Amino acid sequence: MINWLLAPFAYEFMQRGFFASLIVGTICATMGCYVVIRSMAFMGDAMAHAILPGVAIAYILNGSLAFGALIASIIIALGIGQLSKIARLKEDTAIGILFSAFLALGILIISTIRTYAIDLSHILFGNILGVSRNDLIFTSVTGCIVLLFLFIFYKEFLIISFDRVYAKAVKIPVEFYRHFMLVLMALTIVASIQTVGVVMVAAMLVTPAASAYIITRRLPSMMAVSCLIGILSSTIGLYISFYANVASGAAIVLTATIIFLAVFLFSPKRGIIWRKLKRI
Amino acid sequence: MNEKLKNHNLKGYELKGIEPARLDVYRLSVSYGNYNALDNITFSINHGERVAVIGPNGAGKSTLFKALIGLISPFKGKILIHGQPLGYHFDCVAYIPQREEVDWMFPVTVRDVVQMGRYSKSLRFKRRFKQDDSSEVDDAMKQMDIYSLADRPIGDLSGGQQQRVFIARALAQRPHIFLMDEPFNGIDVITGDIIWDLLDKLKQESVTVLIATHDLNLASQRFDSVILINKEMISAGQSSKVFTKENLLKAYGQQIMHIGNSIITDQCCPREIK
Repeated sequence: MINWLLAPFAYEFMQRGFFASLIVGTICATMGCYVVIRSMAFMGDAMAHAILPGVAIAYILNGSLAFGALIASIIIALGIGQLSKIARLKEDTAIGILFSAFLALGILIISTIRTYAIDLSHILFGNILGVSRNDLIFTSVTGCIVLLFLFIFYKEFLIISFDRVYAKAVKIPVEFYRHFMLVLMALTIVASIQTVGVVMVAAMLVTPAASAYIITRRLPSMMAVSCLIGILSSTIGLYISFYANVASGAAIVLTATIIFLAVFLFSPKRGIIWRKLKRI
Repeated sequence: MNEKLKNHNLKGYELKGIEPARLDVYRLSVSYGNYNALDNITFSINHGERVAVIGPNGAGKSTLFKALIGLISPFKGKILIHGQPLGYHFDCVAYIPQREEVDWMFPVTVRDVVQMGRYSKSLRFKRRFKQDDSSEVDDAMKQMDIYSLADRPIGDLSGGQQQRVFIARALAQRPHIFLMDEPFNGIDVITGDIIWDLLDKLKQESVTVLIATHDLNLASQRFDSVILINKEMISAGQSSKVFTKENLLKAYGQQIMHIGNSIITDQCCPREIK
């Protein structure tokens, strides 16, 4: 059994991949709590997909892919706010327009590159086994920055999320913190792309936090449980990926989904099975 | 006191006492695009007065409150608190929202919410909660009789208890002016009694209280004065002087009926008043 558990770590790329996925599991799960309680799931999805053109342009210019991704996701986050304000559209409409536009632009640019299919699939689904030393350092540093800011400004983020009117009344600069949070979300996404990819990061931002939301009743414990589920999904997912030889990002996300389903069914307070039993 | 304000002739709204009045609203107008939510509202309230803000649905009562806590900018006119313009004082106005404005599924406990009331006083700069802050929070919860519920999530509470949580948060803020938006809507008898006990205590401490309400009878019985608005100023002062047939017709139009000495307003189908 121990051999079975330790076997993957004989390979250096697996060690790096493992650490990267633990970090991603933690930051996505923590940030994800705000995504869930502030109903920003669609926004997270959009920001993740919006990095495509940034990455593609950086690739062509031989620049830093992560930097390109960061710029693109910040542009879409601020762009959505501005578009919905100026054109007086609902936010989800603005997200729908910009999200697909960025995605299309990204694919358009990538299709001009020869090795199109391989590059695209790496960006979309991540390549945990291709995490380099530098990638790992980048992911760790970015992750620490995100967690640090979420910790320092906990009170402000809590108050603006719970009660905007009160936040404004006690003169918290609500708009500033909202944008600040979007930037932190962009950082989270960029730090995670290498490991789980564009498509999966949106799930990692929502699924562990949603499971935690069902079980817990306070934000700090929701964050703790969410992290635990994030880390657990990353670990189990990686083992499945190693032994069953399947895509790592997909394995991690599906593990998180199975945990969500279990919680959803069996949670004592809100789970559907218990509620059914109570009625009998 | 502002010079410009002094020079104007504020008919019926002049200040009493030496200290500047706690709250002066002078020619306040708020508009959203072409729609005038409030037009030319003027009144003045003394220390410790308990005032009912009366008007039909859509009369701008909530807008008035939001203007008083600085949520609406820009507006025309002046709002003075202790003779100083809005924004001069840090957080001496507490606003208690209507229950419908709150996300009750949010993962916070009663204590978390009441602690938010100490944000301006301690959390913003010191970042830490001190002994007197937590005793302030405990006192506020005890006063609202929700201390035993401190660690329960707010979604588990009854409507009346939820209302009390937000009043406790406002109490923890230690405000000079309390704004309550329809606090008596859909609450139980116990909560009603607790709120009235609190209002009496606030009166002793000369905390000024403004309450938006639909209930004309309540307003005329248990408040020092009333402010009658319907987008524009109709009247302010003692209820016996404000609630004249003429004023009420102005505010409510055809929605109002006089039967002997009692007043009946028809709130279920508000009509446009031209």
